[in-house]
Amino acid sequence: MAHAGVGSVSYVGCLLLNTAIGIKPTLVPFTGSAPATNALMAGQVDYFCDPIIGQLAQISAGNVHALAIAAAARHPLLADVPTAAEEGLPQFNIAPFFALFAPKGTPQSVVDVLAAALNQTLDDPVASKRFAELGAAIAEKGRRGPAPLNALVKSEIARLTPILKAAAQK
Amino acid sequence: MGKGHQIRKHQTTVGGRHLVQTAEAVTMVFARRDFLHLTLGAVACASVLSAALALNYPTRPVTIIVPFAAGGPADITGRIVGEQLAKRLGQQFIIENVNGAGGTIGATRAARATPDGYTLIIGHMGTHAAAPALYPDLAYDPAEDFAPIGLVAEFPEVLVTRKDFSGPDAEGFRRLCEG
Repeated sequence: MAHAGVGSVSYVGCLLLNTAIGIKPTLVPFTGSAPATNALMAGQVDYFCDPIIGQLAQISAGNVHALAIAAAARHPLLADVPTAAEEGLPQFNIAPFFALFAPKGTPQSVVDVLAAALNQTLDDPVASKRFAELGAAIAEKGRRGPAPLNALVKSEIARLTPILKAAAQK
Repeated sequence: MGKGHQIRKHQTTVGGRHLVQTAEAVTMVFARRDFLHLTLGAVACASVLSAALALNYPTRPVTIIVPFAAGGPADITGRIVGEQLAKRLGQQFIIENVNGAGGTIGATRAARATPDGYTLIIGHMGTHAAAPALYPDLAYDPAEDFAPIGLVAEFPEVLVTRKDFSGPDAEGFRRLCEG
């Protein structure tokens, strides 16, 4: 199993997969998604989990084989690739969040200015088109702003911590 | 730049230190009740001042730390958000890629930055949810050391295998993995 460094989204994603299947493969670290993909194409590693955007070009060129999407629904950019749930692995469901944070103690009024501007950004047709081209889903209206993000961070820590600790044990 | 300079100068003259000194000097002369009034007045003054500063925010370029290499999803997200915030708030938003240790180096730097709105970070599931389980000596607490601004986007993952290593389905994959 290739990964882009301990703590990268590819590492976490593939550990969820390994846990779902019940395997403990050799974990081969790379310095990023690109070198990991190169090693996969060269046949030096067997598999890799990566945000869709990192693999689109190689999948369509036939350089790697796309086996499953780690989401509840098929993805419009890879419509012929089944979901992990269709393959009997619903636990392999991972769409890493990307979010904007400031250091703790940043004035509330500044946080409000930034949150409002970010909200407008997500409604901007140019920005949403670019995210769609990247295979990403922008935050739905009810999940925007500081409070939902605070809750998401806490729930993801609670979900991932036991899985990662168990998977890291030899 | 000139505008930002003016504001900082204003803050030093009118802000906390000056007001505190005034309050100390006056207590020696006035009764306790007067001191209380004065203190409350100073607090009110300070909060009006901070609101006024926020109305002007941002007055100089803002740095967005991307704790991963250029070209990846965190970087692309940071650049899209940076361009948009720049357009909407009338200041430059500069991307700084601080790569290493699964993003925790950049996240540590952001957690320790001055909390004035001029250093932000694109954090993700790795730096802000997985890191505590993976790095026992993590120098920040993702749930406590940040002021969340908002979720930007989620990037679903795909399982890819080398061309000649794949069962026709997940069951085939499992058998191959088990050798």
